[in-house]
Amino acid sequence: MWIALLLLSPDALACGGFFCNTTPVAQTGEDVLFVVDEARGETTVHVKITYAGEAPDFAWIVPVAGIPELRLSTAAVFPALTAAAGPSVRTVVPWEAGSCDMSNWERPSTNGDYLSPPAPQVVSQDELGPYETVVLRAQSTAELTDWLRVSGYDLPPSLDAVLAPYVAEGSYFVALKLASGASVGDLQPLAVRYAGTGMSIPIRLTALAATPDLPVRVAVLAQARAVPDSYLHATLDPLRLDWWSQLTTWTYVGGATASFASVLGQAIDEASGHAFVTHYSGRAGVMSGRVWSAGAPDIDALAAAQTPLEARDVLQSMGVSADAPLASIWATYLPMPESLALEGVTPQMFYGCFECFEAEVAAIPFDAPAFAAAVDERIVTPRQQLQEAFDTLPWLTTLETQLSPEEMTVDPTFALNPDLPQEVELGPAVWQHLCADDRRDFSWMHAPTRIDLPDGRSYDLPSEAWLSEHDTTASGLLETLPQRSVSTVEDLGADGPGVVLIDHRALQLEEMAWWNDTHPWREPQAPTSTPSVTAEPAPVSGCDSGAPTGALGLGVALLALRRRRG
Amino acid sequence: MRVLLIGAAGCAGAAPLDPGAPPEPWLELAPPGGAFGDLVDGSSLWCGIPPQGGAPYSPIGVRARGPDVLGEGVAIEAIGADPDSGEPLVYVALALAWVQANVGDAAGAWVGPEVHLRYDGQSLDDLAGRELFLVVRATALADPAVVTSFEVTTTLDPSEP
Repeated sequence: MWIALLLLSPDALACGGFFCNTTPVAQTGEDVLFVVDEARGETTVHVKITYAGEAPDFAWIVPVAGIPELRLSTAAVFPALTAAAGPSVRTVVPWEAGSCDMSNWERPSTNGDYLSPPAPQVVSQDELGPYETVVLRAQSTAELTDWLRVSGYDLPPSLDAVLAPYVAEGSYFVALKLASGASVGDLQPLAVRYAGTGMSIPIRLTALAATPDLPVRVAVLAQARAVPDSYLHATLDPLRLDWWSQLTTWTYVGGATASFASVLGQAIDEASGHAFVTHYSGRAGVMSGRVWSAGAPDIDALAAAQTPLEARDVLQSMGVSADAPLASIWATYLPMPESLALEGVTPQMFYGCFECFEAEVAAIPFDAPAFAAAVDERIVTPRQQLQEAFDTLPWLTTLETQLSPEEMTVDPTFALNPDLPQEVELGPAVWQHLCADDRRDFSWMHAPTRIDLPDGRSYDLPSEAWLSEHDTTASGLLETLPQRSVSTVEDLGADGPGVVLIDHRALQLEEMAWWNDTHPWREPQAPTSTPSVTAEPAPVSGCDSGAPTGALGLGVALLALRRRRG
Repeated sequence: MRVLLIGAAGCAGAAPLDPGAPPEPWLELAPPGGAFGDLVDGSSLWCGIPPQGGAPYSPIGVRARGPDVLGEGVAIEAIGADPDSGEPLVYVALALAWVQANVGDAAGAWVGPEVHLRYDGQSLDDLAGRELFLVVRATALADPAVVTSFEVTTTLDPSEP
């Protein structure tokens, strides 16, 4: 229900939301946070709203469950979620491992580069921060859209068909537009609270204007781990992840062979195109202090500011000086003199350096209490409320998928499942230098190496010197293995362990054993010895047609089935 | 992945779609909260209000066994009606990508996301205790000759599954 339909007029040049009646818009992804309060039997969903057109063209409409309560949220939560519980690919290189002789440290040269027909039911109308809001229910799509158009919502003609299924299903709708005088820069996330603990994203609405492979990032703050219910669940094959490009000082180990996003996309495709990957499931404590810091000055300190400079300093100490709504709040309560604009001074220059325009700033009447009230409503209270939720509810899950418009046929639903292993987090890989064996010690550069993946697999690799001498990379060598992006695909639900549908783990172990058996870099060898590295692995014993060949065939077959992404 | 909306076709209470079908392909449904094989004539089928509100729905699992062409995309069509009155209650048509399970009970089966049966225009009170004759059909997008269907007469039940 919470991915919105963003509407704008035909003459809008660009749009950044979920719907545009001209062409699909450039989107960086959809971000949704569900806060599930089972004790109260209610859910609050925080939805990021992005848009890049003209203010009069902005309209946003979303179907909702029952009659919702609306309030402002904060954009600060989404990057904080990414930082604390987003995907993380880390590689550890232990210097202390082994007994490498560092005295002959050498860095070989490298080539590595790295209106008014039948009226709908108007449940409520309100002003909320920069928005005018209305909650509606209609018997027909025309009833709904006619009312909205008469009320100043600039809707494209193609809208009716998109809304029809939701109207037929009897949904309520929340519609937003910018209040008079508000600008696009005033947009901020919305929090919608509704009765019940069900979680769903009305992705069918998004199909009309979404771009291919649109990332959909979902966070759930609750009592337990959240899982996709209507979609499948996939786990990534760590071997496919780029553990190498972060090792900037070892340029010859390889760069990004495939970005995390592309591996994620391939994994989703290998899991039917309708699946989510869990990035993190763990304590919500990772969000402690990330949305609002305890001990920050309260709003009274801001209201007591004598000058705009004092107010600015208080805002900085509150940690909100970079919040998006601040620019429009300043513009309202400390309007930049037109004379400065005529001199070429931009708002960024003026609001970024009060000291530079001391006389002009001093000449503007500044109502600190009103300014503080606006900051409280639009920034501080949303942050405090959300931080309180993170500090109260124990468990955070972050999930992601990628969907193209043609795949937006089934609304994703989510459930809490306390029966599953609760903690999910991708650990680091360790790149070991095997500096000694039973016969000799190696120098760091000539020591065979090994990558230990977080799922327990280990792949032997040659020394850094060998890689350099052969003008190849560790990641390049490993690419000769079958390229599957999922380890498992599961059908999970609100209880029980779920059903594993696809499990490649045994095959992965077989391929690893073959790799390590046939690429004996760990054998004592001269520093410049060159074990054979073949582009196509030789057959594994015990397999009729050669397991790796079969595995490669399976990998190719899987990739052939999934043709959407390259 | 090709995902297409297919046009409305067929009617509620239709005769078996493919009475002479060979053992494969075949189709199975799982009711909400239940397992494949649980949805049989005379069983109940949960229906409720979806999280996003609106008309009642029944999320069902669908899987099939059959040739590899099913892995190239399938059109799913579900038609449901009250067997006594003939009143249509459900019509769903969408296309999905399926993947082949390789472990457990489902090994070899083609599986994908849930299919949501939506009872547009109905209320839960209207549906409670009502019989539903449901036909679900899966057709391989790459070979329309590969088609399998499942039919069942079940009783709609809004109580928790």
